[in-house]
Amino acid sequence: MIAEKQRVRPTAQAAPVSSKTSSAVGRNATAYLFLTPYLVVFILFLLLPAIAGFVISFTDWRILGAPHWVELGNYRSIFADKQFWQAFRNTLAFTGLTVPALVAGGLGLAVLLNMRLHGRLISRTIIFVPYAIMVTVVGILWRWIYDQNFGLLNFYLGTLSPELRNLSWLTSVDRALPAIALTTIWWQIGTNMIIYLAGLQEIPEELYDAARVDGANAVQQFRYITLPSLYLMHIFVIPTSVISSLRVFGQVMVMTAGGPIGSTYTVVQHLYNRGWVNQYMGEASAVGVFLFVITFILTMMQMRFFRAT
Amino acid sequence: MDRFKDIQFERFWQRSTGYLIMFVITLLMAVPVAWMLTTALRPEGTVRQYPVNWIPPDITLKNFQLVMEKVPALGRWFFNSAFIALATTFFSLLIDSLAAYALARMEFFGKQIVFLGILATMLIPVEATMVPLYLGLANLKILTTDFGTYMSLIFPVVANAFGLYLLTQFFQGIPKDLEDSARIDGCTELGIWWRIILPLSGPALTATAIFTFMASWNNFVWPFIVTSSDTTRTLPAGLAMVFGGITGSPSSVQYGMVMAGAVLATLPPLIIFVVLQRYFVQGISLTGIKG
Repeated sequence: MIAEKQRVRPTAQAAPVSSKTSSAVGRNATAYLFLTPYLVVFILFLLLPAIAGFVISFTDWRILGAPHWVELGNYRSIFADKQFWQAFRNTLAFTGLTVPALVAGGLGLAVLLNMRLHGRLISRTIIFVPYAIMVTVVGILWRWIYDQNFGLLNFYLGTLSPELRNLSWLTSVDRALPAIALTTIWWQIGTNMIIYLAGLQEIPEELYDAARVDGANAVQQFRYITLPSLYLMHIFVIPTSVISSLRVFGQVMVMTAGGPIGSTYTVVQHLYNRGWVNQYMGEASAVGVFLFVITFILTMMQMRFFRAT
Repeated sequence: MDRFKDIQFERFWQRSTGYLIMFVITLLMAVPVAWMLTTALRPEGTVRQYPVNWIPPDITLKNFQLVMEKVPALGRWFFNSAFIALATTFFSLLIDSLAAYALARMEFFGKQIVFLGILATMLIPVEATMVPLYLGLANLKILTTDFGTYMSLIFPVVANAFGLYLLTQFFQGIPKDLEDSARIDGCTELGIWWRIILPLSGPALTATAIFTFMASWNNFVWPFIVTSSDTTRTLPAGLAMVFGGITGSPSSVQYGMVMAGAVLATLPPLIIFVVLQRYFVQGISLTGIKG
């Protein structure tokens, strides 16, 4: 045993000395070899398409035929298009309806289910389960729940008051978008809860003990310990919730297909329509660039806010 | 003594309200899925009923039979979705963990730029890359073959910045000693990645796997655009075509049958998900907060 240790030690010291000087290049090469598979896929399927999308947005490419350079023509036509602005307004409204509920609700549920309550594990699972259901099924299921005559929602609303018995949901200009927002909250809230729960479990219990000794009540403990300790979780949860809401499409496609009278028509649906229904690929690309710019601006605003607090 | 009683009393109220809120929310969250099951299991004639009756008068599997007859491609779509999601997860874990190993354990030129550059792309909505990807794949005639279509469904979502981030954070937390002693024993970098880092990263790999699998399983727009036949169509795209808002007016929908299809599409991944979900929390809590 001892002999072996003595044999090993000199090699352990020798190795770094010999490699330090000679293989800085080799070290870089090894690292990039490990990165290569990722970078190849990343460049081929993300970076190049993103750049190409930007270029295509200045052309009049239709799937067949040669594209021509049209400068800002596509941007002029989308900004002059009432349908585009309606899609943008709807998407912002949808984001405004879902994100606060998804973030505050997810955090609230995490705090609740971090308490030592019996059955909290089952409760967590049930709340997280909708995340495992695919968007099409979510849409179909909730169309049945929102059914005007025999839907579950109207039945229970009807037991509260007979006037609420026959409300239209997905066929109502005013209620369709909030209805889809509610469905999305049900579907996605568990993910945010789980991420916040993971964060809560890392906060040392001593912090709360110390605060209690100083006489801090539950609200103050939440405000001054829980909320700031979850900083890294907020940085992830809030931007990703905003981004996924800005990209809403699947639920809408299945539940209302954008109707009634465009009241649930969203930006990604506009992109899909211009590109694949009308085959104006250049214009669809311009909508894609617009979506990226909006995402970028909103995320930068959030990062500013986080840095300030 | 009085103060102690006060605290006891406050605790009691806190816990009671906690239980009440937990019970109500859990119930509300469970209702839609329970409603899907109870609709699927009853005869079509008793589906549209007022007042609502939670217990089916007869439990029948007829709706499942019916949906298989009406939508014969359902099995194929299911296979496609599962195959594509599994392949995506496999490739994603492979390339993410290799790259994460370099980012977490090695010093090299340009590391910060590479890492931040990859993270920044999380801001690019997939939809913005859809047009060029589609035009490229269509013009290269890749989408005309089934194999090409499968590849087009797998690779655009394989480079997964979130998974890379999660794994990099996790790998950074693994003690260096193990790696050093393995290196002394003559282990190569690839050997260390395979024999030391990966076996110690179960929770993080599982969390990444679940995230990737679900993202692919759920992927809607891209398969909707790219697939043009039942051979390659995935479940979300196929179901949307058959049961989506685009076709069929709500009044004529046979909800018993539709919900049976929904149950078939949901149950298998749901069961796997429920079994694996505790690793999900572990994987995130061991990585995320260390920043």
